[in-house]
Amino acid sequence: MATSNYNSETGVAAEAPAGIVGTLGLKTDIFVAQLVNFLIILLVLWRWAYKPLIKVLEDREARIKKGLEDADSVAVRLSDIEKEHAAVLRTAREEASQVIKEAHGLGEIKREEMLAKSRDEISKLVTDARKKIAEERQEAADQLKKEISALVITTAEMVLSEKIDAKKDFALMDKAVKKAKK
Amino acid sequence: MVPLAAETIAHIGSFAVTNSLLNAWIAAVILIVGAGILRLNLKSRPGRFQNLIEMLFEFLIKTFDSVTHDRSRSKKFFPLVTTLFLFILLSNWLGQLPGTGSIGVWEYMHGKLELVPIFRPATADLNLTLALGLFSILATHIAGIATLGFFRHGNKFIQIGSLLKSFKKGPIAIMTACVEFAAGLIETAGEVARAISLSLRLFGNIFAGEVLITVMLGLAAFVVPLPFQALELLVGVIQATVFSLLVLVFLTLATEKPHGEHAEAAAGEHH
Repeated sequence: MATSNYNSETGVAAEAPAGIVGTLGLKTDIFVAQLVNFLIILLVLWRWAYKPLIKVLEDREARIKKGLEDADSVAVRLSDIEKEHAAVLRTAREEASQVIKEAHGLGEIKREEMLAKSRDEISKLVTDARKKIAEERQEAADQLKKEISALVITTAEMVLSEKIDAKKDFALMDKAVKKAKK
Repeated sequence: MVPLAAETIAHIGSFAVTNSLLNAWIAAVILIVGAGILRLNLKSRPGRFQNLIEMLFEFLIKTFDSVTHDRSRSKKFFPLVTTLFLFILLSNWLGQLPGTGSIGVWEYMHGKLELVPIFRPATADLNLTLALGLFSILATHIAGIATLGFFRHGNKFIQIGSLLKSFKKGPIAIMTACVEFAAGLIETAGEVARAISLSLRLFGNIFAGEVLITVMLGLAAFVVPLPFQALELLVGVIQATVFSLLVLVFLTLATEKPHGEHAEAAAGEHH
């Protein structure tokens, strides 16, 4: 086989061993070499290209699917939270208005109470004042009575100690009145 | 003139390296380096190169789905069919590079001085195409046995099982079984024909293209061969597609249940 191609005889003999197979250049060793070559390519591409790349593609597909599902569930949760939020707000508002109503009622009662109390106090003051006035009046009247009686007594003394005539009577009376006026 | 057989350009020990084998090695190195680059740069967020490959893969697997109608089978057949496609396409196109068939050594062949080119399209050598064809057909049978089991797959070709079962069913069934047995033998011959037709189609197309380009270059070196070279690029894609898609079809057929399987399954599952 290692014979040189320059030798025309052996060259022809080597290239055309027998019939069609020889003409088409079929040689077992080249055939096997080509087959092995292809098998190596197949295995290398399988290990290095197809397997990892298909894994990457499938992983990515799974991630996208999961992402979409997550987005859906997040949207559901968001609407849930919004509903909850609205419900909480509603109850809070209701409670607040309840509290305000109660406060109003309480204020009214308190006002009534205060009013009643002040009315009582005023009436008490008024009665006290009346009482005091009456007492003072009584006192003044008593005083007056005492003074008048003293005056009458003096007048009577004066009348009894002097001669009584009409002229003198009037003068006396005048004197007494003047005295009393003083 | 371009000879039918690939020529020897070097010897490694007693092993004669042909120019077509050299081209096949170059294609192998390119594919393996490409796969290595892809493997090392593989990310979940793809770069430009990875994006391109991903687009190609997705396109291919969708095309496979239209043949197999089954994503799991597409995925199973993907490595073989894609490698066939990529390797044949690259080999065909490498043969269109300038220098193929024109750079060479003058040697005495058949008693006269001839130019022995260093590069020759890998697919313009029947050794390669026959290796691919035979291996692909072998792969279809392996796939068939793996999915259907040895006897059910074998029964498609040498229908002894059907013949034996028919004896229980009466004379008409026996006659039908005999006809089917003969059809199975034709099917068996068809398997060999498939491998040979796959190989010869690819070899013939690329070899003819190489001859055509050589002739055109001989007529006029400039401009004139250009349309033919463009045509050869197209032929390169078409032949790669035809070869790989045919293998895909064969794989799909081999993994499908044989005819009358349902009736037989209903008739008796004793054995």
